[in-house]
Amino acid sequence: MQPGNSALIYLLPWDFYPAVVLFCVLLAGVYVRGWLRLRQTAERPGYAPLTAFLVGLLLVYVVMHTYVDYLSQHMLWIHRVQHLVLHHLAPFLMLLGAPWQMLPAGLPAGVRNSLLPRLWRNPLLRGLYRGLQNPVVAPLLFVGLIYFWLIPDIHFGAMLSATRYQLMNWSMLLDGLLFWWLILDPRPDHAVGRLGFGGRIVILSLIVPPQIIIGAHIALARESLYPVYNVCGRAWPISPLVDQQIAGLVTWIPTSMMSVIAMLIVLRRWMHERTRDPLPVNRGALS
Amino acid sequence: MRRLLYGLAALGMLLWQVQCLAVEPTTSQAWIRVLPGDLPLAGYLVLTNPGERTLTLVGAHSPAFSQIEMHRSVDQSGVARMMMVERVAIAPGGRLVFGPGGYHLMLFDRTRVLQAGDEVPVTLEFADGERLTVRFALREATAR
Amino acid sequence: MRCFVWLLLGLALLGGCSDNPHPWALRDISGLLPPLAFELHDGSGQPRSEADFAGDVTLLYFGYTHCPDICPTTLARLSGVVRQLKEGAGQVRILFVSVDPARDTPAVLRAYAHAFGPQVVGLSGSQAQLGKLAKRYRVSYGLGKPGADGQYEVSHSSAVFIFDAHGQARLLATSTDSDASLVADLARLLPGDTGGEG
Repeated sequence: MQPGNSALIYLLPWDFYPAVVLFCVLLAGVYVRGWLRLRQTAERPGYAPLTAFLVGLLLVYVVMHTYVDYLSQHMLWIHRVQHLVLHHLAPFLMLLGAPWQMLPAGLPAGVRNSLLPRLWRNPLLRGLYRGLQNPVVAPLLFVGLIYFWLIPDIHFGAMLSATRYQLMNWSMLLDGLLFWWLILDPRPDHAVGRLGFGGRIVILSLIVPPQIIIGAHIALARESLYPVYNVCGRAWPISPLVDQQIAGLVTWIPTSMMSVIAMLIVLRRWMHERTRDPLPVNRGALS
Repeated sequence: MRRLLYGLAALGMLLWQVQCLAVEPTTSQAWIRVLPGDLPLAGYLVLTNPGERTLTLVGAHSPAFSQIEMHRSVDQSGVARMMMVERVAIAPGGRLVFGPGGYHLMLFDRTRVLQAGDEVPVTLEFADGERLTVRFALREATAR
Repeated sequence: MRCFVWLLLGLALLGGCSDNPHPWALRDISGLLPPLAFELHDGSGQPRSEADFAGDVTLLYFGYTHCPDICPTTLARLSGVVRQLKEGAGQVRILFVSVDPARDTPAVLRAYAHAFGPQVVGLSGSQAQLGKLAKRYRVSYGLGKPGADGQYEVSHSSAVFIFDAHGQARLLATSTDSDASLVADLARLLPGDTGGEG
């Protein structure tokens, strides 16, 4: 499709998804409310978490609800950027905003004190959460989803079917939030499996090689792996191999860098926690 | 002995002549798909270069059209596009196919009514100043 | 952990790994794209919609008449394929949608479609109507900048979308598919055929 003359077209959603609007508006509203309320207390959260969370949320909105959404359907490498945002960057930024503090504080008292505990008592939801946050399942799912949606036949269906496309993007975003929550949870032992900081660093390093492998596989392929873009037409004239090379690099390099950044953050928390620990054990393990 | 020399000389002459003859590029399967109205048309042919030098096609003209360009269809990125081509080189002994979905002559503005079954002359122009007039068969829109 | 297994199973099912005993030669797109629906006009300027083609197998192709190479080659191929269906040919319509309504007036469209045979229907519409249709089938097209002579190039998806007699999107053909594949699969889609359906 030819973009119109107005710059507005780049900001307007290509497809209107109420769920995206609801997700972004509700989360932003509750978060800001919580942040404002906590500002009145001794905790006094700064502007950094607020900025991180809102920028993360804004990125989600931009890749799912502007012209970027159209481009993602007609250019492999932009699709990879979209998933880099949905699965890595945006959830990561949102979790740097300490949503575990602000969101509960921002919720109306009724929801916080009655609905949430009731949901949490639901065995099905609890089981699902525990399953997804299992230290073995979480990284497998994180890498598995990347691989799954990049299987050429699956990818073809996801790019042609509007429903599957939505499912793909939401699965990436929700899994991203769950995964980075597991990694960035400030508590030294994450709820499920009591995953400590050391274990998280192991997970972060384990997810790097598979992402490098699939990125390199795409970047270095000699033939077009994803014919769906040939069928639907690319957003602008570009050779399929160039598109694929950029897409491979996007899948390969920034994703690995995210792991390194996350490792540094976890490492800092680990050291911080150790200095508070009255009985430090395994001090030598760090070196 | 003298006979042998004559024989060799005759053979040499013959080879020289054959080579001279072969330098001329040859064409085959020259046809134009006729579309209704005054829509631009595509011309196809196979051009062979039997010579020892690279042959460079730089253009074409015809009394039946006011303008002829060389184009190449590209379907690389899934979106069918045409690109104008200024010159096409054919290596010695090589062959260039102007065919559907690839290189083609794009013929604009008919100067007369064209009907399937007729023929039109098109003169190909080469970089060295050589010209070659080829008769293109006019075929129906549904021709393959 | 059990949840995870279920999740994976669900994903696998979603992948549509259905082992069809009679695979199609062309790419099967059943369930991926919405049924045929459009509001356009034909070569006589009459409004046309999918309802006019109910009961026919339809082949949807986007192009423009000032395209001398790819579009006529594709249409010639499609109409040749349809002719090979013999008596079934009457149940197949090739919908040629011009994305260049400025140059492709109804008169031009009519003459153009007619040149390719009785099965070809030339359609076009406003940019809004065309944009809606292109978006529905997730194809992109673009109008180039006019040159000095006022001629301009149009880039368009080269895929052919094939719908069954109920208007359901079923198959997708590209220039790399053979005529034989097209003939075989179209024959299976014809309403009278009971052999290959499903």
